[in-house]
Amino acid sequence: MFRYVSKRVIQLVIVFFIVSILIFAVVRMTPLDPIASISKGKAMSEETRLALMREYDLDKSWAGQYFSWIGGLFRGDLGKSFQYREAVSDLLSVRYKTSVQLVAMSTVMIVFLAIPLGVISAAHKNSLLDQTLTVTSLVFVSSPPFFTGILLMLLFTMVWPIFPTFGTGSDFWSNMKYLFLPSVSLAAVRIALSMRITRSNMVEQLQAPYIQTATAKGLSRRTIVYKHALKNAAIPIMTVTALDISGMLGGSVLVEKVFSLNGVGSLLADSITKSDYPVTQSITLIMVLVFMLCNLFVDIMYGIIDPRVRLD
Amino acid sequence: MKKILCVCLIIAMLASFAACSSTDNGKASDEKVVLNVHMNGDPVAIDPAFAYDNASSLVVNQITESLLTHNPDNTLKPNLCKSFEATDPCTYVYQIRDDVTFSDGTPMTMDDVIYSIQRHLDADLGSYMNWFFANVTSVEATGEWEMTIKLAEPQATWQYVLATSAGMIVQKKFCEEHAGDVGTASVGIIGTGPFVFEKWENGSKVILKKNENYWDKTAKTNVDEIIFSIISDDTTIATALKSGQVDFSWDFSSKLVETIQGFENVELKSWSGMGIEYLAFNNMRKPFDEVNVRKAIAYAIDLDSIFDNVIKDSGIKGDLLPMTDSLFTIEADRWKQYVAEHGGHVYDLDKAKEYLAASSVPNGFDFTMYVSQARSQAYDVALVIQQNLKALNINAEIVTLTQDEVYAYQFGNILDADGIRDYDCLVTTWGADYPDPSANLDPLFNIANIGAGGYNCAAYSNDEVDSLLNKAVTTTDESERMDLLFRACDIIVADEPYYVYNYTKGFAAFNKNWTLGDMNITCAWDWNFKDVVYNG
Repeated sequence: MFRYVSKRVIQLVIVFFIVSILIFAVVRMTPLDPIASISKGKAMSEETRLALMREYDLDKSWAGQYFSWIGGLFRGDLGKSFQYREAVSDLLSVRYKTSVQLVAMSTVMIVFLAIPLGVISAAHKNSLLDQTLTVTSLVFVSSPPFFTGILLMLLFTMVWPIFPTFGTGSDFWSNMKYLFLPSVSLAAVRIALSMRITRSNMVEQLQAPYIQTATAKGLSRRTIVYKHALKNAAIPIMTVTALDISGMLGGSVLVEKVFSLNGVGSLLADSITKSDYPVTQSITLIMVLVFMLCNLFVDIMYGIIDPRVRLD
Repeated sequence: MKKILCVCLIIAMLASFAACSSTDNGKASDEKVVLNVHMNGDPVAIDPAFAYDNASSLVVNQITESLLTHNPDNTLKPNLCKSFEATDPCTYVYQIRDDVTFSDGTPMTMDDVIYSIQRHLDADLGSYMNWFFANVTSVEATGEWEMTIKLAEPQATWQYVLATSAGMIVQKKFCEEHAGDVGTASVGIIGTGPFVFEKWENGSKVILKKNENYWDKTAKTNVDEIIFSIISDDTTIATALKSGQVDFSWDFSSKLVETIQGFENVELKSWSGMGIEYLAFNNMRKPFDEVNVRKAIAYAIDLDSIFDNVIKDSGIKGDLLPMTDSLFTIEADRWKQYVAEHGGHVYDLDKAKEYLAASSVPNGFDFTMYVSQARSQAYDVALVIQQNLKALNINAEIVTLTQDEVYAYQFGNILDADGIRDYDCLVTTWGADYPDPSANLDPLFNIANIGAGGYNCAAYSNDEVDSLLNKAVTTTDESERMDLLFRACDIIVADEPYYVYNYTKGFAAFNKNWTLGDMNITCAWDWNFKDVVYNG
């Protein structure tokens, strides 16, 4: 197991550095004078220009800038934003809370809605309830999070105004109210997908021979469904949920824009439209890292659950 | 029983949300009058040295004040100074008020005034206002409450500089104690304005509190707190205005104008802005170096169609003069007469074909138009122009770039192998920094502004125009200066280096429970809430 985990970690480190070089290069392929971006195009004295170049490490070669950035990453120094003239790490320390809470609330919704609904749907296969849930899930799967967000916003501000339209609260608990609609928007597609996956896995498990044995032994339907079938169906569901978490980080960009949330996603979107290299490259790399860590977690879980995977 | 409990829990949760939402966005929660203002993005910094965009100005103007400001007709008036005069073409003397206090209760001193102006010259600060001071040789206190600014050579437009963020006064002691952090979310800044910096949550909101020590006792506002909320999505802005969660907005997409006009609880004010939108042909690149080509394109563009289908009421049809009437603060009648005599753009395909036939590319040509992806209306205009030009067999490829990439081209920071600006045509915009024809003519047409950091994005070069504009800059007799500018305009109108399609309109949407007072809303430097009153 140690060898298996070590191999995965080494792969992750190599991929991380390759990706960091790619990200660094790609953001610099756009035609842009960083000083013009920092100064918003204002004319300035040569002295000011040189001072700005020193301040933002732009007086170094590309290689020097890369090593300065990647070296700083391990010290928590991600450079300085062109747009805000503040340290990227300071911006992230303000913004990450909203994104983490948004993703956490969405994850809770996925776990506590998708799995029970999927189980109920499978347990009542082909019933009216199952068909209703199937159609509903298809509607949500077809609706992108930002569109769901706009519909929810119109419904809960114009028709039934109990939720704020935009922004965040002052603390964790007041944020619950502000992040409720964004979380629903972000989670809706994934609830529908996870519900479909839960349902199909449960249907498969409920047709397995061991279920027939359990039924023959006289176990109650509830025990068979929740204690035996769900336990076996849970493995792929957990995998999908773990990947959902990393996927939601990317998906939160548009939802954060629609609901004007000060999360990492909206910061990334703004940094791209405003050519703020230091912010774009740092957030992209962090997102890649989170995605890779989620994958690593899933790989390790597979290794623990199914020893055959380790042999591969 | 469990099901009943579940339903009760859900109802309780929704009820608590409802209860919370009714207090958080109220105008007068706990008898506190809260003004909710929309902004399109974060300010660059809470510091006048970086207050050069709508969001930054909107916040900074409430905390700090400038030495001069504008009357409703955009003429200058003293603010933190009592009076000012040019004692000779190179010397400006300001009599500073002696009764002004900062928000912490300490009096504003001459030290603070001199420091505030001089800090824009500090290369390490990197002030956006730095360029205003290129001609300044000294800033000195020449009396107990007198400041004298000396210029290297006469500059008629200097009079306007201290009515911008460049003339805002900050507390020297605070800036020195917080060197390196001034303007950041952690400390903000201390000024003399009607409100005080409280909090800035990046990407979410800026909160200001009432300045209890405000020196100007004639201020009428009853606002205790201002919350500037950052919203960039059009639907969210409209919903927030309609639902009353936002009371004021200055900074929304022109596409929202029609929607907001339909809101019963919102009043929409509009005015002729100080900006123009245009096609900047690269006059140093073939075939745009030929006036016949530029005129052919101008005659082929159906401006009526652009306004009927794209711009509608959100702008004013551009004409041959590259400035709006908001800049006609000196000899306004003469300028209006000039506009009337010259008329506007004419859509005439026959004439367009005649001009193109007389050029070196009679059979048409291909070129590229760069447009910012942040300006969706400009993109739609580019699409109409692309269609129009097909009639001349001119194929325009539209390339979208980020706003900063457009800036990089527009401000001459990207050059081709021959050392000239590396684009065929930009679809972009320009906003005058002060209400004077020179604010557009000099940056956009003078050869001196063709290089890096320069705004002559048509790369226009005409010796006579340069000579007239240079002479106008150093002429302090206003009538003589206007004569020079009219003569420059005669040549510019004939050459058409730019195609100005829109004179921008400014819009402000505000909830009918509020009154704006005497605020001059036409100029971003003057957006100040000291007379804004809640009447709900």
